[in-house]
Amino acid sequence: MKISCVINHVPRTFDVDPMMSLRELLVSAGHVCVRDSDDSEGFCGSDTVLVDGTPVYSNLYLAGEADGCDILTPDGLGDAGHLSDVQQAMIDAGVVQSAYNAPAAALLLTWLLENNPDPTKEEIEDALSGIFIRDASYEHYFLAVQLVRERRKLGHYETKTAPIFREQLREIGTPDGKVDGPALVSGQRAYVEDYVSPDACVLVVLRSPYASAYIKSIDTAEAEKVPGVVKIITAANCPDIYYMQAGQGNPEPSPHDRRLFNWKVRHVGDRVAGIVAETKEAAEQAKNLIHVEYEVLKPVLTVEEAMAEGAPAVHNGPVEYRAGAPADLDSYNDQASKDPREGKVVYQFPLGADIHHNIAASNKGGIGDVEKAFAEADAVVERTYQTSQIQHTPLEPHVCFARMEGGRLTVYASTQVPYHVRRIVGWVTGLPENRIHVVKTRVGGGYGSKQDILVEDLTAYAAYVTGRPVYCRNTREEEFIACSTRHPMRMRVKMAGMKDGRITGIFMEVRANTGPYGNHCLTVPMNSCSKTLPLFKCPNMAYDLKVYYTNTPPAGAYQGYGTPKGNYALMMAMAELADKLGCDYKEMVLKNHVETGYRLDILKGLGEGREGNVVPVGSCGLREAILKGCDMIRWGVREQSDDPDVRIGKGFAMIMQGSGLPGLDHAEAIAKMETDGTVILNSGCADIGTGLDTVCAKIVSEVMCMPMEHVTVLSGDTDAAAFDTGSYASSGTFFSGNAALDAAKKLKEGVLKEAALQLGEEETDLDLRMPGEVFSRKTGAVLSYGELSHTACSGSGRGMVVAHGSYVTTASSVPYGAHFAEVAVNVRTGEIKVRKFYALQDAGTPINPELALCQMYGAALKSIGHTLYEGMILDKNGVCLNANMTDYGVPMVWEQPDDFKAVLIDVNDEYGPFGAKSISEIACNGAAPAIGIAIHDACGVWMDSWPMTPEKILRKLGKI
Amino acid sequence: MSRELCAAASASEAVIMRDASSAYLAGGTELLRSGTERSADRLIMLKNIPELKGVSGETPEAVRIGSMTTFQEALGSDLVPAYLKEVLRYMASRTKRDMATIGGNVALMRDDSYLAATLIAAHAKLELLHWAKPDSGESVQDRSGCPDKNGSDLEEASQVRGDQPVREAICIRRYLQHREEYQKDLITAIMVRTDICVVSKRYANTAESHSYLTAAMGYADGRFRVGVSVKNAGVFFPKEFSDSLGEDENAETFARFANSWAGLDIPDDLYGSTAYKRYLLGVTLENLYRSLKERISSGQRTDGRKGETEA
Repeated sequence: MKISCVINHVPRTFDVDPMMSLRELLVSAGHVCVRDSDDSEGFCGSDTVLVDGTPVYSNLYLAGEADGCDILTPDGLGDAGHLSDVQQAMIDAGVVQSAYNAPAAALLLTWLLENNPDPTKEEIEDALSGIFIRDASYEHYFLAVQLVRERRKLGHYETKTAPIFREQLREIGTPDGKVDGPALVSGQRAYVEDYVSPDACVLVVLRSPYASAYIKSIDTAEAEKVPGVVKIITAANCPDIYYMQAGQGNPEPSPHDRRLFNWKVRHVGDRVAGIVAETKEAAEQAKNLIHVEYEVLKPVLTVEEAMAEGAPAVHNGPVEYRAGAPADLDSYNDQASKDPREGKVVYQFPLGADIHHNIAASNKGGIGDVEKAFAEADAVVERTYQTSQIQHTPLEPHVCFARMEGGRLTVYASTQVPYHVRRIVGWVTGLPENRIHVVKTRVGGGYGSKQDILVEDLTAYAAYVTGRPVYCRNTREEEFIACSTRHPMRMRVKMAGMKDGRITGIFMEVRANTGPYGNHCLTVPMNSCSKTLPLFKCPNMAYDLKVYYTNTPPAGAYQGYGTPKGNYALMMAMAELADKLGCDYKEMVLKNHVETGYRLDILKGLGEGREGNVVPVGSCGLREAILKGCDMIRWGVREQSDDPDVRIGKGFAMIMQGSGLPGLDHAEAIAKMETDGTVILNSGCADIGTGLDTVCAKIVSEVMCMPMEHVTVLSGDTDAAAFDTGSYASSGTFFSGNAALDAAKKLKEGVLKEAALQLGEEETDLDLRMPGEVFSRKTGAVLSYGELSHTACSGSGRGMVVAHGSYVTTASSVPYGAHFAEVAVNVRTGEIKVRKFYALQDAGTPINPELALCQMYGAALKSIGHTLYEGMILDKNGVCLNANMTDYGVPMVWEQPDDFKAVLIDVNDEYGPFGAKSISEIACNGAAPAIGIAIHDACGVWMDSWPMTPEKILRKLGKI
Repeated sequence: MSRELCAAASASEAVIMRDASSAYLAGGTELLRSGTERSADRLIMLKNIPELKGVSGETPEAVRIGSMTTFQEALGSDLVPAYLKEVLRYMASRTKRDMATIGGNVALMRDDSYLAATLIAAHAKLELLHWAKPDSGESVQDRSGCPDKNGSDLEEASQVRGDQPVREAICIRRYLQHREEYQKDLITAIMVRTDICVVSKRYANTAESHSYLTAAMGYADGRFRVGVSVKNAGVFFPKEFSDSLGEDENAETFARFANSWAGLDIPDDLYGSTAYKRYLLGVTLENLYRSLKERISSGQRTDGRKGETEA
């Protein structure tokens, strides 16, 4: 069918299948920013375009319907390479982060302001109601609109986008945009899918319909006959290499318990076969022609089932240890099944596992004498809390493109851990690391899920084994059933206190569900203790942690790791203890929280298999956050609703996290001064949208006294940069930022040394100054970086000034904070509304304050979602019943609190670059307890599981 | 997966095109959505049919909304009554409201419908176009009221279907009860009353999630009318219960109905337990009833007020 339409003011004619979606048509016409986040569910809005001036989801609009229409796509905003005022305002407001649908959001705001130059907040909410924002929440979109209005009326912004920190510094602590912001908001090529070559084959995966089954036989003969099929990979022909998908330091605290394909499938959605074909249609056709005979086994779907006596073992083969094998390993392995389809489990070092009883890892420890504390206490509370299985729901699903080039394997990955991707791809292909090139593209949302190597292993292997370029992209359903999720956990907390409000004993029993494979099986659950217990000045604390294999969808890394869950349990228990003792909760918190200088003996027992490092509390803005938040929310003042069925309550929780993993994380950066005096920083860091490249650029700019625009950061390319463990555990700013700082300082030294030679002066008489020049305090001589570098690189010079920076540490810079909630609970219907949510955090020096605020908002809204709405629901066979965005229930604009505030507490840290600490993960830790405590304040019930649904409220109230 | 797209220039042409292997394409938010249970070989595009668009004040007591009017267009009309605007906003996504049509939503009569319960409670009517033989005599344009046909009428109606487009107006609850009968009919408009008081309530996990319970209650001519839609159970008009409601009911009336109504089979599912949803239905009907009573006692026996107009 011939279709004529106008796209971005240009008349176009296409001869297309009218049944293709308008999005497919637009992408094929080069408008790659019209993206797909939901497989045509009409939910996320990444596919939004304007048709005849009206927003539509282009996935739900046929190309044939567009005949005669006027279409505007996000890349049609702005002109001649310049950003529109809306796009610029979005960058300035800090909302352009992972940005997968930022271009679509810019289009919607542009449309709104064209039709309504002075929209109300509700009208802005309405305009954004069709777009899902996971990373920054919606709050600063209101700010972006305000900025546009001001610029249009006044020619400049009047409203500040964020507070300024460290006035004495030029870039650090000042809102100043984002280095990749313009490219992202205007919809330029940035993500993996934009690098896929036209000759790429497609990889699709046949997945298990059973939660637990042996594969008795698999017949691919018929499927292989489908024209276009290149290769089908199964357990029968994949490498016999055991590995794991967790992107962590090597050796990993995760068991190697899987191959690319196994003879035993361990969850609904587990890999059965990978089909590489020249077209998606051929791959799908072949997938349907693979005949698999299963021997179905009884699954275990909960921790309780997994720990039951005689429970089926999810892994029942032999166990191996790379180091530290127990003396009785041979007799232990006598219990193993003799069926070779079980495979084996390889531990890098002991993790307290007992796989024949489904225990993937365990740990315990503590300080003092908790039993004595319980015996002597004025009151003891003992409660069990349960959390659900949560999906990250990044806007960009897991995606990978790999190809062989000149005997090397190039992997384009949307990853938080490019160097771990390279290592694991090396394992499964057998290639050495010098023959693997990982290119981390822009990442359209990670939140921990892209710390796991979930598609790169198979895609890279497929490209390697076929010699063909291979592209793999998860469907949204696969994101739910075949990717990592947040570990469901059951936590029993026993807490003792005295009438004066002192907490004298805390015991945590953690039972976590890692699913069928042990990605991060120790580290994530350990965080539920190690990032929570050190909040308390309590002399007697202990924990007992066990992690169980089950046949549920896999668990893995998720923003905050186990901390949100542990914190939920501890804070709820503390609030209940305060209630039982007749103490004011605020006073109890103030009496028991740690402060700078307090010696954290508990850390000794929280070392994940080795003795932890006892250190005192460093920089700490916790008390200020608590006091300021209490003032903001009017703690102690009872609010009333006009509706007699509605009760209003308040709650808060203190929070902490870390800034990377001291003693484990490692970052490097290489700074080069180019021949014109500009600088390129090759950083091993992985900016996943949070502004880490901008952090590094600001640091270099600050140290080198040169404009930001003269600094370019190239990151996440394993060929170009040196090793970095990656972006996880809140390590980016602290580790990669410190590596950039080290490189910048060394570059400065190199420049001064070279300048001294060129000027014939002493280095001690020279200094750097804006806009990028060396000057002599003694003679007044000036040498621009351009002149310096040109001379250095001329035939008689001493060569380019290059510096290599790195960072490792045993220091621990802990961010602290407190989150506050005010909720309205309808005691007849159980409905809950978060009216107010205040996030107050000490991030040290916020290098990008506007981006930091948006990350706080984003993580807080995400956690509100976890607390109230989100949870994967499995049936008795392990099938996920809500593996789509609509039923799963992520919070969107209408779920955002009416009054939502993020506040940065000003604290300078001793170890962070320019005093910075981490910002984002910690913001996941406060919502559940703050809301739970507020619900109790409202209607008197203690919510002991999340999500805290209306039905659970009604049950607690005895209504049903 | 559909394979062919045809554009109809008029409602009559659309009806002529419709056969067993085809379906009408309205806004596309259901038919083109992933996970939809509906498919057809051929889609008949309705977007270019002017007669299916627009809102008009048919009589002082009724408003005619063309079936291809989008949710957002209806929200922008001064004529559409407030009670309907309230439920049009249940569709949380503005972008979706800009695409989804009222006719398309009604035609599906999904158990998580945004509109069904309210339209039932509001005594709304549908204007249909279908096919009839030239000599059948079925060229009825019945817009005068809800026919409340009995079974034999229905049978007669089905027999006279033939090969000439015929317009018909039916009560929405009749459409609900005999959907198979009207499967191929084109909904050309929805007629909603303005001389009626209607209140509605929707429950969903998030605003964008599927609703698991929507209840509505209308009051006109001294009679209450209840509409209910429950996810995985269906859309219902509990006629006997509606008829039994007087002006002095208490909470027990609604709790008893919700717990014992035999016509309602609510499953335990991912949206909640049977007990929860039955409880919620009772409480909600009681709340709606109280709300209606307040209006009635304040003399507001009709919803003559117009909804706030949205751009």
